[in-house]
Amino acid sequence: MSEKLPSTYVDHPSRNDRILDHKAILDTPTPLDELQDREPDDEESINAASEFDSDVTDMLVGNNPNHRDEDPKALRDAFLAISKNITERPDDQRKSPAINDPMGLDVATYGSLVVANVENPGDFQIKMQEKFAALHQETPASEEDKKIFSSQVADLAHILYGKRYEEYEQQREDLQLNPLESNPFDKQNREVDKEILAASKDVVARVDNTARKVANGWQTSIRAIQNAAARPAQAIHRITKFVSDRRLAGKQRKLQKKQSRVRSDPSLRGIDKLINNHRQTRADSYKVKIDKYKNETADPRNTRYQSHVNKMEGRTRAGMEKNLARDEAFQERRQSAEARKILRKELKSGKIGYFESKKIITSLPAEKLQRIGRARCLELAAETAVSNARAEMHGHQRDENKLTEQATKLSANSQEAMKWSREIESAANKKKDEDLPLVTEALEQAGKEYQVLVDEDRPLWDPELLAAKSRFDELANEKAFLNSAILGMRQSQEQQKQRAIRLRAKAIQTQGKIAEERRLRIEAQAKLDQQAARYTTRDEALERVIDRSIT
Amino acid sequence: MPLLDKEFLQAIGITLDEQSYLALADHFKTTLFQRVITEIVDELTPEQAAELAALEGDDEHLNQWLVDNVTDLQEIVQDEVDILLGEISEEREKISN
Repeated sequence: MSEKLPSTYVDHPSRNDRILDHKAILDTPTPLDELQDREPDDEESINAASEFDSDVTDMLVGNNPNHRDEDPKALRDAFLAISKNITERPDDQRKSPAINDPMGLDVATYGSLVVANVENPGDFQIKMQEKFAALHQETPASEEDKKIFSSQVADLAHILYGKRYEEYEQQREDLQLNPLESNPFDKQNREVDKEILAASKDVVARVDNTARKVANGWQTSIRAIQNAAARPAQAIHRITKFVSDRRLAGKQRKLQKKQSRVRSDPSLRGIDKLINNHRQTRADSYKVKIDKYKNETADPRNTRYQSHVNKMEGRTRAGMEKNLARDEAFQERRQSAEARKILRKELKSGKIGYFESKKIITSLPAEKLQRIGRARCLELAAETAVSNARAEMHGHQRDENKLTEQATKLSANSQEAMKWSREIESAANKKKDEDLPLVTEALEQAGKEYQVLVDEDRPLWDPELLAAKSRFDELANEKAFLNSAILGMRQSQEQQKQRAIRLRAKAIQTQGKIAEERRLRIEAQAKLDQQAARYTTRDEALERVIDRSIT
Repeated sequence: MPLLDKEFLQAIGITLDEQSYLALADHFKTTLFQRVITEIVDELTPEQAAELAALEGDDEHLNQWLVDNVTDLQEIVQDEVDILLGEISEEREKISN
């Protein structure tokens, strides 16, 4: 992981004070340095060693009261081992520690800060690993060095975090171990059992029948859910109708009262006729108005469309409600099943018999079963996340290994090509410096001899002249062949050289990819640790829920 | 007849073409069976596991052995069906797509 410590750490005044303290400690010649030349029983040496222990304890543990009881000698040894390894300083330069952190901190100080600020031993180790990786980015550390460093960091984490580290390691081991793998014979038997059961037609039929009955039960449940989802709408409709009917009845009663009052008034005799006439007039005029309005504005298509939209909206809403109710019911059913499953296992591991277990499980209220089921589902999700994170980390690890192998091959091939280039160059030089002068000299000599015979006016068929000419031609051909061979060798040498350069460039490029994969792997490791911690939390939560529910 | 029928899937909001439906039904059956077997085997004691392993090839006694030794087989199957159907319902959008 390439991320730095949060900026709040950098700006924290007390932390800065500690940084200064740590630097001061590291810059001061240590009593241990002085002790190296002294007798072990020297009193001054013993005092100085004690002071040094105290300084180292202070530096690594700081003011964290949780870490004050640690063994100073073990701390000192672990610190010195790590400090020497991680800062890559020769022993004689220990008095001036390398400042190689981007924040201006050497690794030991960085480590102490990490310890003081990081609660989780896993995170502490990751941060130290990142530091180590950053220091070895240009020249990658060998696998052995990495192992040594990991072991040292683990020792340091163990010393500093004590019991917490042991718990952390135990969790990691628990997560990585498959309980079935503890006994190879048992595992083998179980694999055989699986095969036997899978191959048996009777078993398949039995499971199939039972599952079919359960699935039919589900169909019934779904119908019930659908009916239940439809019921609220009917109930709402009934309530609305009831309210509106009641209002209408009330209004009619009021109107009848008014009418009877008016009718019983002697001063208003004949008013009924007047009222009726008036009402008829108003109704007629109203009808005329309505008809006019309808003709003008009412659009039958719009009405139909609106009605359709209303219907669809109603249907969607009803559908959503139905789906929601169904999903809830499904989840409840699944959670109950998960709860029963885990309870069966827990009770069985507690040596509780079948009937008693069944009694306990069936006596649990639905609400408690749901709670256990929810906790179990969360735990399962965390388990899946751990498994995915582990797969991701292993994927990066594989890629990193593959790339490392590639880089090694490329580098070796590059060196081989360079070696060939040098050998060809050496052979070409040898031909040029040793063989070519000899041939040239012989050719000159043959030329001279031939010239002498030509000057003597020998006839063309003279055997000596012919022999001299033949020798001259032969040597001239040999010289031409040598020159051509030297040229060919130079070209071949250049080709090998270019190939070596190309391979080297590829190797460097691959190193970059390796660094990226390493970064991703460290990130994935951190993620895995986080997920593992989350899994542990959820596992504990599940245990608590089960304990509370059963007791 | 498959364990999952089309009407059932439609009722839980999953609409599939014939081929996908058959594939899902097959996957459902296989997964359920594997889970039930794993669950049975996980619940066995090491002695029971060894005993069952010794029954290899003796199909006749296998069913009786299961009845005698895995008393909660019915519950196991029921719970696994519930869990699997719950998972299908939860993942119905992915399945439909």
